[in-house]
Amino acid sequence: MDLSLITQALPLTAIVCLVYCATRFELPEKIVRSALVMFGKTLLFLCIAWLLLLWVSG
Amino acid sequence: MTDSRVNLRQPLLAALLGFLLPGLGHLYQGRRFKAAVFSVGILILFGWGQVLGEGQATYSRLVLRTSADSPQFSVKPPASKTSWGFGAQVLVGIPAFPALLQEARFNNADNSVGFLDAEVSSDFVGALIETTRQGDLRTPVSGSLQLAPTRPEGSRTVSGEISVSTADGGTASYRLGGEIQLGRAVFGSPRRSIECRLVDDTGNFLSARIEGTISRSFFNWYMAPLDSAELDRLHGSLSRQYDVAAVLTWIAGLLNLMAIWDAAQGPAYGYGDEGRRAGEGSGDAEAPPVNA
Repeated sequence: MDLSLITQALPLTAIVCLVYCATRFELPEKIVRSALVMFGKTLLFLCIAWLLLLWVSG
Repeated sequence: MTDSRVNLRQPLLAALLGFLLPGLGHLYQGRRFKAAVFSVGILILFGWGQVLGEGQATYSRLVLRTSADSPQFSVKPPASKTSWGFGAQVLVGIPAFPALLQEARFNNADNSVGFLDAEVSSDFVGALIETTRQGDLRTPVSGSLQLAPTRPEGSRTVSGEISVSTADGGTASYRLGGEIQLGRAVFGSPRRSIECRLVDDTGNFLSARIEGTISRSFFNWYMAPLDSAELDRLHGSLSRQYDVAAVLTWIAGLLNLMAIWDAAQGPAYGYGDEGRRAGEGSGDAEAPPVNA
């Protein structure tokens, strides 16, 4: 796998999650907590999608 | 969603400030944490895109190539179309505004086309073209070039010298003279097109010329309208990285749209402690305002 995909996708996902959650809530703790949850769910989804595509193309 | 604990002050002014610079509207409202998140997050994304795209991921107009000649040689503003991606990029505010300034500069008739107003010393990349009976013989060369107008106030005729090296390692110097073909001063490419004839020591024209590019100043190419040839060059040299750069700047702008909305209307889902407060049975009136 291209390393730049990870070095670019991870910070991008983190920033998008944090900024998005900051527009949803006001409390800093709630923003950070929901951003972490969203970040985890997004990574999980991306991993599943990647594995699925790997399986289909294999 | 509005919450009495969130002091939006003047929402429209906050939204305007948030549009001008990510996080500025929230800073005005005293919502410092969110101001920091929006400004750092969105500006990092936009700046990251600009770095990955070597400063050329943001432009407001795409110049159309309607003829074989480069639009760089057009005195009148060449035909162009809107870059739809800029609609997202401009939402970042001031960091994207140079594209509008460059568009205004680009839309002026450029009298510097084919006119040298001062001495030029630059690197050169292009070709040495010798006209023979069999046709033009083109040799790729690169090197350095010095040119000066023949009149102190500037002119279309120039004199100068070019030192080049060829792909096989050979080096040579030539004298330049006659009328110059010089591309537009403002154009979305770090390279400025140039064509000039070669002359001998007595100033007589040789049956050869140079065609290529010299450096263009940063303030004349940054965020300026560019053409498809420049886009092709960017895709050729940066490949997927250029697309990633453009997407990052678009995402930055779209995220700021949500931040602007938050500055005007407050957080979309609420304060963030609704479940806890419902369990404690407390009401809005008992909670202290965040930014009183």
